[in-house]
This record gives sequence, structure tokens and C-alpha cells, in this order.
Amino acid sequence: VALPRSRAHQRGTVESLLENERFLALVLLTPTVVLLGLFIAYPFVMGVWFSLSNISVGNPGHFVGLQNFVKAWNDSIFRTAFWNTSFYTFWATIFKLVLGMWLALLLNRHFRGKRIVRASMLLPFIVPTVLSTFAWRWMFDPTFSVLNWTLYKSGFIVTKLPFLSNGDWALWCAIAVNTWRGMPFFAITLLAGLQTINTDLHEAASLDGANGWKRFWHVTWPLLKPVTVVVVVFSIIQTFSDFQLIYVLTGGGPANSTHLLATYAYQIGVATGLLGEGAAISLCMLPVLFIVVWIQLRYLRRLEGA
Amino acid sequence: MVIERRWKKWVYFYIPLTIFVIGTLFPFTGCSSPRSALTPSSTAHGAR
Repeated sequence: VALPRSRAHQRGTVESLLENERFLALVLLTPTVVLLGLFIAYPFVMGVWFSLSNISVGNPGHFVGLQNFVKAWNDSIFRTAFWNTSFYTFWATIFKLVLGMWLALLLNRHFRGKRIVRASMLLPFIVPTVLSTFAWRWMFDPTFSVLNWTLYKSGFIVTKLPFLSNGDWALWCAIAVNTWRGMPFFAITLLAGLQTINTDLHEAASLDGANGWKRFWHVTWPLLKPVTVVVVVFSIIQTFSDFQLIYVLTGGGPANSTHLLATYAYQIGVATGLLGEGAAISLCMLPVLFIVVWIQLRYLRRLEGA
Repeated sequence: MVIERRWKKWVYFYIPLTIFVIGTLFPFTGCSSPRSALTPSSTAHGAR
């Protein structure tokens, strides 16, 4: 059956266009570029523009240069938030790594009920952060704290511990909750890494007289390093830009002592309506994260090259 | 296969794993919910 002349001509044109590699590449890449541009590049560029302007709710604003950054740096709460974010990220990542590694080593062994224990360990990671943080807020509640009640009834304390009413305590509580929530991610990822290690290596090491610690330090750890670096990079990015946990647990209080950069940026940008200053505060996270990620990825490349 | 003594298995495996399981699942138990925290027993005698 002969096709009508115009349709056959059209088909021929489309086919010849698709055979052109440059055109095909353009067609295939366009959706990705549009999506990335719309959801990543556009908000980022807008954020940069906001941080360089004095825009606020109901006021389009104009270019003010680095004024917002200077103002943020002269703000004592910003400096506290910056210190808190670094402190929170450092300790939470250390705890998550150590406990996650320990848990992964435990879960890597054979025991009855292994599957159910592995699945249950993932629960903190699966449950929405807001929900689990509310549970923790009740556990740290000044009046109804189950932790205070348990310690009091066991005779360990005589007065209530100021879990969330003291700034230092509150920050450590936030680190504890973040560790509790993030540890399963470390454990499961490291467990996946552990399962790729050949058991013959451990057996050979133990035949050579290596004890458990030496087997871990000289066999397991070197082989787990690449996985560990990737997990730590992800964790640092997530923890440094954490918002939900602090927002629900302390709301930045008491007296702005537990603000992180993300919660303080929200406080200034959204709650107060000073969008430019809020954008400047949140953009301060970018160089720090960029440096940390760059160092770690360089280290990872060196490991892979070795 | 690496063989280890029974007490070592308890100290280095069963006890830490139990602590991990309890620590991980503790916030999901009823004791952390507002309803149980507001029961008369905890409001009258607890957390003082």
C-alpha cells in the first residue's frame, strides 16, 4: 500500500533528523536539562539573587551587594547557628559512623531472627522525621519525660534533667536524636559493603593469629573505606542542612541557642519575611559543604587509584 | 569459620545487639506517647 506523498515525505524527514547524532542527543537531553533547570538551577539562581537583594515579603527589592552577608556575619545568633551546625554535624556524623559500623558488624553475623532484626533496625530511618522527633520531644518533655521518670524511679537522679530547657543539653539531645535516626542508614550501607568482603580473607587472617580487632583494622576497614567515604559525604550533606529535627524538637530554642543555619534561615526568611537575609544565611552553607565534599571525593578518587 | 567461646559471644554479640534493638525501638513503644505520659500514674508520681 503506498503512503500518501506528504506523509511519506514527513516520515523521511523525521527519520533523517533522528539519524543525525547531534539532533538525537539534543532530543534525548532536553527533558533532563529542562527538569534540572526548572527544579535545581532556577531555585538556586533565585536564591543567589535573593541573597544579593533586600527583597522581603511584599517588596520586590533591589540589588544591595554583599550587605546581607555582612549583616549576617555581624549577627551573634548567626554565628551561634554556624557553630551549632558545625558542632552538630561533626558529632552526629562521628556517632553515626561508629555506632553504624558496630551495628553493621553485628548484623553481618548469622543468628536466629536475623531478617526481622535487620528490618526492625531500619524503622527509625523509615518513619517520617517529624513523627519520630515528636516521640523524642515527649521523651525529653520537662514534665512528662519518660527518661527523667525512669532515672528518678531508679534513684539515679533527684531533680529533673533539663533535656530541652538548657541550650547545651538541648543540642546534645538533638545530636542523640539525629544519631538514632541516621545510624540505620550507616549500618545498612556498611552492611552491604561488609557482605562484599570475602570471608576467606578473615579466615586467613585468623589462621595467621590475628584477633578480632586486628582482623577489623587490617582486613575489614581498608576494604570498607570507599563505602564509608560515600556514606559520610551523604551524611554530612544531610546533617549540615538539617531542618526538620531542630524545628520540631527545640524550634531553635531555648533563647536561640540551638538554631542551625537552616532553621535560622527559615526564621529570618519565612517567619520574619526578610527573604534576602534568609537566602544569604542559607547560602552560607554552600561553601562549607562544597569544601567538605570536594576533599572527601578527592580522597575517594585517590583510594580508587591506589 | 572462626570459632569463639560462648561467653565472648554473649559479651561481644548478644548483649550489644540487644542494647541496639532496645535503643532503636524504644521510642516506638507506648511509653513515649502523650496518652501514656498523661496517665494518672505518671502525672501523680512520675517526673518529680
